[in-house]
Amino acid sequence: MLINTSYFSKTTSSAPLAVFRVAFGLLMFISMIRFWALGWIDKLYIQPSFFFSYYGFEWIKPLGGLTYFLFFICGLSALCVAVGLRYKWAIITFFLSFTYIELMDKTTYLNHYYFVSVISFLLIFLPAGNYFAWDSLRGSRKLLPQIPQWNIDVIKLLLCIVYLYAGLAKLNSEWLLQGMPLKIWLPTKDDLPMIGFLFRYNWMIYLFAWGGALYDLIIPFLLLNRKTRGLGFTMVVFFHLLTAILFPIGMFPYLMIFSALIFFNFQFHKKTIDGLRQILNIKNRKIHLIQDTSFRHSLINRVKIGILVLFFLIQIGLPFRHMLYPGNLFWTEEGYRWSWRVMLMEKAGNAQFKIVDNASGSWFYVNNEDFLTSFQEKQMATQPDFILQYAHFLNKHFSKQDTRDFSIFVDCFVALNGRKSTRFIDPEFDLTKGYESFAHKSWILPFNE
Amino acid sequence: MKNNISTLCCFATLFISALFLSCSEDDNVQLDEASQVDQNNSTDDQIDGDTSDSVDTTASDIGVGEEFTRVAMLANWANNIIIPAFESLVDNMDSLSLVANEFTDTPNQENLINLKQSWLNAYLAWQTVDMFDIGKAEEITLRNFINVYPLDAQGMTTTLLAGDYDLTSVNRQDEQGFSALDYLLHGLGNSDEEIIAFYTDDTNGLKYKTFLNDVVNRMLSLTTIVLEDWKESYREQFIERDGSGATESVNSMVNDYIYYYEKFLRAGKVGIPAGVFSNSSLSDRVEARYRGDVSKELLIKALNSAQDFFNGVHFSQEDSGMSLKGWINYLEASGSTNNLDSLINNQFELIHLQLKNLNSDLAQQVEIDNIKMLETYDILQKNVVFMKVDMLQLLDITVDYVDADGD
Repeated sequence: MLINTSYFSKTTSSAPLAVFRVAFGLLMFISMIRFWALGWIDKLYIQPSFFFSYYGFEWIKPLGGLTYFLFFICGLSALCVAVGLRYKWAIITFFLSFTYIELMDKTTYLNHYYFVSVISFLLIFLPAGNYFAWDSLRGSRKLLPQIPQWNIDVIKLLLCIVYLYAGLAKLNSEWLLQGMPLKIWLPTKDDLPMIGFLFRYNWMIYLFAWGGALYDLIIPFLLLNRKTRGLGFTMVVFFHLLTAILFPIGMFPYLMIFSALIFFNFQFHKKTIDGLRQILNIKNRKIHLIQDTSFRHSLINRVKIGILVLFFLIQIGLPFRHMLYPGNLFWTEEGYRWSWRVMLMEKAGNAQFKIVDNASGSWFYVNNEDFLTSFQEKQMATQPDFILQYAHFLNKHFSKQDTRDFSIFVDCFVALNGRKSTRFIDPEFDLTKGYESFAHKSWILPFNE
Repeated sequence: MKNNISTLCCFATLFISALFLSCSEDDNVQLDEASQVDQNNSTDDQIDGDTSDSVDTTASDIGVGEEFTRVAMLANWANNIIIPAFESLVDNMDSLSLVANEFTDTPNQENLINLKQSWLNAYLAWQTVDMFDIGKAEEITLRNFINVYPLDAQGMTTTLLAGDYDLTSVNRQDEQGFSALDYLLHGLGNSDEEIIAFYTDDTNGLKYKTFLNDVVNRMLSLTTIVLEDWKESYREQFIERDGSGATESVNSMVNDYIYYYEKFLRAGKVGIPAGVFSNSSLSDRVEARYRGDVSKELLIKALNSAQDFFNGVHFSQEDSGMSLKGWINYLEASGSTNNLDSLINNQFELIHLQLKNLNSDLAQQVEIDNIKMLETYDILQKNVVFMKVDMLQLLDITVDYVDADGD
């Protein structure tokens, strides 16, 4: 492998990684408790009778009552990550359980859940449990205060990717020229104390749109540069707290704020840890430091680097896959997910399914409420892959009752970013004849400007 | 050392504020729900005292200009539409109760005809409030006790003859209300004489009389409770909760309105009898099936009420005030326009045109020419799309608010 070995041999303090681990673990632990306390496990994963699967992951389903146990495991492993107890196992368990939860129903897909999965995957390969961790306290393990520089840089790289792609995605006429969808969302916030009245002004909408795009595009550089780091971090805090006030986005702003700390130098993180030690009254035991340099050339290290190179290639390439599909991305949503497209559109739809008995020609409409929660119905009505999967479910459901042969058609109207609603799916297309694949769905009607 | 601590303090402050903010955001929702319950339970004075000022000031705001405010819209809804509609319903229920008493005192044909007319008047009045399933009406599930159809006629007869019944029971919801009266006044026999015979019967006549009065009085008392609540306390709460949040009045009312239009008007009155959700048509599922010839009249009344609400037309008057139409105009004035208000109103007109083609007894229409019923359903459905998709997007109201995180 032709890797710049001098870079990969560079070492640095593991303090930043330790601080990142503690913050990430705690935030995830809190978000699990929050999810549970709000009753969302029941609402999202127990009550619905049908779940929308990701293509290829149809075998992943909620576990009934055991779903609570799954969340318990996920929360517990997050806590273990935070304190650094059996770190390797904890982070693997966390990644698997969290990702399983996210794969159970794509109704709840959010970029920030994806971000958590991606970060926790990355953390599996990083020695974040070596410093300021329960494991190292017991002294049973080797202490590695020095870790490869790239162990820290990969997290920075991922954050830069997230911000840059989110920024690039905003460079479109809807966002910049029409001020959509902020023009729909922000005026509604005019009842906020102090700042609410500002959202009645058009220039404010455009300030937010352009400011948001600019923020996403420049923040990585501000954080990378030592001189502008303070300013950059202040902006991070301001921007994310503002979004937390304006939009219902849960824990995400705090996750981003704490993640951005990784850009600070190790002295900052050392001080943080020393401070924490004082508070928690943990003695900084002078354990003989092992000058272990085996990581530099070991096979495992090379494999790790190989996996992560592949991982980043996917991260960089995946958001561009929409270019392989014809049509308007916002309309078809083919290649929309996993691409850091955040807050880009306001889409609403209504889908009425018609079940036709092929033998007699008799038909009836489906009452979606019988099968879907209102949240699921809302998501289903605007996304073709949901519509297809639901139609197949309906076919199975009604064929089970009587062994007749059905065709299923949908009368679906969608409004995108304030345009008048128009027909979304070819009403003549029998959905039972459509199959999920990575190919373009030709039965999505073209988008009319 | 000091440096360490100060860095840590910054860190901790950030973390705690994160926690605080993320939690407080959720608390709001819970608090809102809790306070709503509290407000529903609590009575009068203190809320009156607290809020009367704010209502006054906003009332004067309305006249100033065409500037849209949620509070003006809520005030228009409460003062000029909802409360007058409930007042009219309770008036009609009052006279229904009187006429029912006259009939049970003297069961003759004249009194029966009067009672039938009173029943129809009250039923029509009900159509003007059915969509306001909010506040006390929602709390006591008014609709479930007033207008569940189809009636369980057999169950009702058993209950009635057994005598010892509890109409407040959830199990009795399909044995009371307008459809029970419909059966008791039109469905017992083929002629007035046959029907009257049930009330003059030596063994069971008294039971029929008692049950008839009990049903009417229960409807009167339930609707009165709701009206009184609106007048005494809920009006102020309703108008005061003028925020844009999911649990605030505007969001709740608009969601209730669209839900009513979709489930009870489109599906209940037309779709289900026409059999759009089943393999075959179900003509016995029409409203007022025993009376027969008024199901279209009830539908038209409901439709007019829904359209008037959209346009903010004051109850049984020509004047109108701020409502969804005005809000749409206000929003579209500052952006690209789809003329959404005309789209919706034109669709209402198309529905009215289509209704001209229907038999006044929708059950007969289903049996004779169901295609026209199916067409009616499809025309009604168009407005579901306009209101639920286009309008809610423009107004930035979440459909059936789901409490979950977004991106």
